[in-house]
Amino acid sequence: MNAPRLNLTTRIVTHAILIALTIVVLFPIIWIIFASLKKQEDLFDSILMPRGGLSSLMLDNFRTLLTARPFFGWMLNSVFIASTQTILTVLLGTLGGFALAKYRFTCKPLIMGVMFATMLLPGQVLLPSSYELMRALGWIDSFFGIIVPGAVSVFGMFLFMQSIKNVPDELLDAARIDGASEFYIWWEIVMPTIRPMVGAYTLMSFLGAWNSFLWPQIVLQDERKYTLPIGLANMLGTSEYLTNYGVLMAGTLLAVLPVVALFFLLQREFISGLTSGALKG
Amino acid sequence: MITPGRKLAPYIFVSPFIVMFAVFMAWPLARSLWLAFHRPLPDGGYRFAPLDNLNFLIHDPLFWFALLNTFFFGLFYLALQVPLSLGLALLLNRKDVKAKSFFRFAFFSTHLVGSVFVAVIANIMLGNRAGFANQIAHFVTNEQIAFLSKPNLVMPAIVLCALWLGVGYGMIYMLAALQSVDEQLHDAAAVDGASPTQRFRHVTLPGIWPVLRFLTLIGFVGALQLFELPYILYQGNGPGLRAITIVGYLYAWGFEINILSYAATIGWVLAIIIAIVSAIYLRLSRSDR
Amino acid sequence: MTFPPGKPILLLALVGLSSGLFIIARPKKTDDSLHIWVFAQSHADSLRAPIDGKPSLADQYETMTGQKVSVDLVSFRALHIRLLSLFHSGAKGEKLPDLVAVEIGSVGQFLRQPPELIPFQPINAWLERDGGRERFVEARFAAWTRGGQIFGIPHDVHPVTLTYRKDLFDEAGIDVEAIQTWDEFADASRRYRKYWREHGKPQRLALELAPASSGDLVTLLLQRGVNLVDADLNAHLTDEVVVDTVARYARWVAGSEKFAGPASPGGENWCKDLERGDIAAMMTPDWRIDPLRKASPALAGKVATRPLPKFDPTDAPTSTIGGTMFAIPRNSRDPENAWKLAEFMLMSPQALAAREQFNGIIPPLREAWRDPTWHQPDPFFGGAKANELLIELADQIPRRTVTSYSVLASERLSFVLIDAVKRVEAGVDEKTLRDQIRIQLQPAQADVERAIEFSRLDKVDSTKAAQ
Repeated sequence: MNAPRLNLTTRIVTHAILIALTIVVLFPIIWIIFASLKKQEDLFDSILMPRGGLSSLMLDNFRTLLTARPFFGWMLNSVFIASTQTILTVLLGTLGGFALAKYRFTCKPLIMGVMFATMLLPGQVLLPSSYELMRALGWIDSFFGIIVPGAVSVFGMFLFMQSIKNVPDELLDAARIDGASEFYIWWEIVMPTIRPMVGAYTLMSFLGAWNSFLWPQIVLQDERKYTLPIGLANMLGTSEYLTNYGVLMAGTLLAVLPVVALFFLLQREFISGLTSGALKG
Repeated sequence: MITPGRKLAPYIFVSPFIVMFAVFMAWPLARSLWLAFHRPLPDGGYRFAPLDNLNFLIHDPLFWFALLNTFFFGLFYLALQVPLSLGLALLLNRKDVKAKSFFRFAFFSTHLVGSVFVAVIANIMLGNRAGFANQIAHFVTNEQIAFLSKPNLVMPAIVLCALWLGVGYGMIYMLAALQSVDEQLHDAAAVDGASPTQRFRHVTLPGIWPVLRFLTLIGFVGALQLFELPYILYQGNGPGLRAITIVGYLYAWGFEINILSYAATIGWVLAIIIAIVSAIYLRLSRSDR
Repeated sequence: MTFPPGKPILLLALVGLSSGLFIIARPKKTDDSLHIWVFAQSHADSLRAPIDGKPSLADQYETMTGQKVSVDLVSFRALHIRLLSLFHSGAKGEKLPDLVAVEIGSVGQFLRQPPELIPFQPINAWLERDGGRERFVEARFAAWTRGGQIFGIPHDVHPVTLTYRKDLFDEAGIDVEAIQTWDEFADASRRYRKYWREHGKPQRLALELAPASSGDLVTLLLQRGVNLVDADLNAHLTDEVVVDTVARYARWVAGSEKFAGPASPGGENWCKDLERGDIAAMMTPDWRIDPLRKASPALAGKVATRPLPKFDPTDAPTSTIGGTMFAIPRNSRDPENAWKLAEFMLMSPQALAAREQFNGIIPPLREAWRDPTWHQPDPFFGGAKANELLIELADQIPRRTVTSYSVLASERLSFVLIDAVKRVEAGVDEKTLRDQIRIQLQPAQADVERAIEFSRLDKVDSTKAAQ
């Protein structure tokens, strides 16, 4: 028997509420867009549209951003670090997850136990000694210092392990009978099967690396090596005298766009991957 | 047929991760523990003093203040985030909603912004006599409120920013959980004459309980690790130190005062607290079964 | 053939590769130049920007000695962390800057160790050899001195004056110039508030003071000769002067008789407060006055500036807020060479000329004060010789000491202040207020002492080191 038909009023109310909430939630973003286009004087005079109307909007803030500060460099650094780190994490995680999911070998329980325990630890307990390690390796002020430690994600590996467990053994055995090497199996059979989880984790990892602030700020020292979060946060704290808010807002807008774009592309995989982990409790 | 290659394969596959893990996680962890039992000497070396750091920490009012502050944030935040995420998900889950994926994208997109950028934006929006928040306040009262200078407004400001970031994220989880509750259970209950509230209490809630619990756990653990948002928003610890967090305190000792041994101690105490919280969670979830 | 891990990974791989290529193609820094690290735009400008169309200081030095000078502008927090990290890791030579600007608030972190281990080069010997010491305002060395060794060249003095809306005070019938003490100023301010309440502007405050943080309190305490933590790492939070100052301050910013409050945070918004008349007087170090001139030209002729009122006759007529020293890391490539660089870039006549161009900041070198530019009538202040006043006060600044515990001490003090403010709001009487403040200061003092005891590095420990 069908559920009772919901009447028209409820539908209108529901949608009205949703639209209102969307506006409230997205308002800051709209504000940023306007703030990045307004002149400095207008910035706080009006909430959104400046008094002079559309004609007093300008692209100067964006221009200043790209010339006065190495913003483009920061963007490049963020892109490079986030992409490389994500790829590395996925490679390590799928390899390790495959081993843990589909093989039996001697140290397996020990490895899994140790790693599970570390998953609970907050990253910050590592900060002081990781920093010492970076100094010892000479990785202070180097992208290596961010990408390589960042590629170690126990959480990621466990996610992949769970996913790969669902790959039917018959597929793997069939390939083995055909003479495929284990490596081939990993790359050509396992990977495509867990593609949704890979997509989901890619976004998660990229997002984490993109927005990462604390560790990169500690490691990176040359202003031209900065990532976007560091560059923009430091702009806020710079100079006792003046802060050009419009430029800062323009920067924030541009800094957020790449992740939003990536999410747009990977929406479905991300959501299914995210929740499949959670639903298992 | 098991070739030598196949026998070696798992070791080869797992070793890159193990090696990286050992170097970049296990070693710093061990070293961090070692540091926690030592004290620095003027020339840069360390001397063994196993209980000194812990002793100082127990008597350190700023540590407890930071801890309580962080806990308070966590509770305040969760008390709002979980119901809001659930409410939003319930709203979005209704059969009659059009453009569901548009709304889902819109609400989730806030999570993508990241706490650093949100802090920058919030600093400008809230921190001004003539800023946006005060423009609204002006509308309501005639007063101008120094949002960022009042100690009592610090926690609300931080929670507000955290909610803006987190409700969409929680909503996604809740949506998936709601969708996994068996349709037929709902219908059966409806046939039996259960009201919507009753249906919620007895069908929906039990069904999504595991996810709710999970969200609360990761929410709380995440809240305990809060740092960047208040640090950047208040450019430090805020009026009356109300914006201080445990991790912020760790950072100050480690990288501003540069006594790494005490920072390591704080880190380990935080780790132990998180372990305790997780243990409680596991105990509770086991008793549910 | 499809890419096994999927399109996103492929996309990222391409993106990562191309961005990597761009990054490799970025031009590398040439590194045979001398490096000066600064954190403020104005410092950078005075060192490397062309002066009136003529070559910059850096260019002049290159012409003189053939050595390139690179002035690196680094964000303040980042510079601090970078330096600490370099020193901690025992870096030598090229990695270290030849000259670095260190801000007074954070200098304590670098001066924790016994003087022979402090990572900066003491300049006493050079000062003696090149006859520099008397050129400087002696009190300015205090913040960078430990055990008699001076570790940095002061860049500024930062005397503090009281800048106020003369027109608004006049209208309320108050002659600010005649005021001698803070008590008198408090009375006058209350009259000021009353006047404007009766004239339709109830929100007008007379003075800028932060009600919940201790920055301004510290400024006032300095005026009275109190450093919260002194160079021997003794904390002075329970000093009676502190009690007295907090008690008065609390009554200025809270309760029915309040007349002071916070300015709008961020950038130059405090200038707007002065412009709108929301706040009528502010304690201004020299580094605030020039931005005020630039941001609020509309205030010209309406503002005046004067020495700070005093609490007691023995107080200094001014205080000091902020400050920078330029230091030479002990292990840098060539400290002697760096000293020559510093002499030119910071202490030579050319340097002084460059500074004038870029900021209204009083140099700590007395000979610079003879320059007529510092003695002109200032139309902004209605023709008064504001700079002359600043110079007069520069010679009278209190000695300020900064340790790595000073921040902790001022944070604990801010708690006491907040508590005092609450009591004032609740309408407590004077005796109770002071008693309560005394009581609150005890644990604050104890905390600071405990922190000092726990982490001080200036005394070499007598117990054995770790094997």
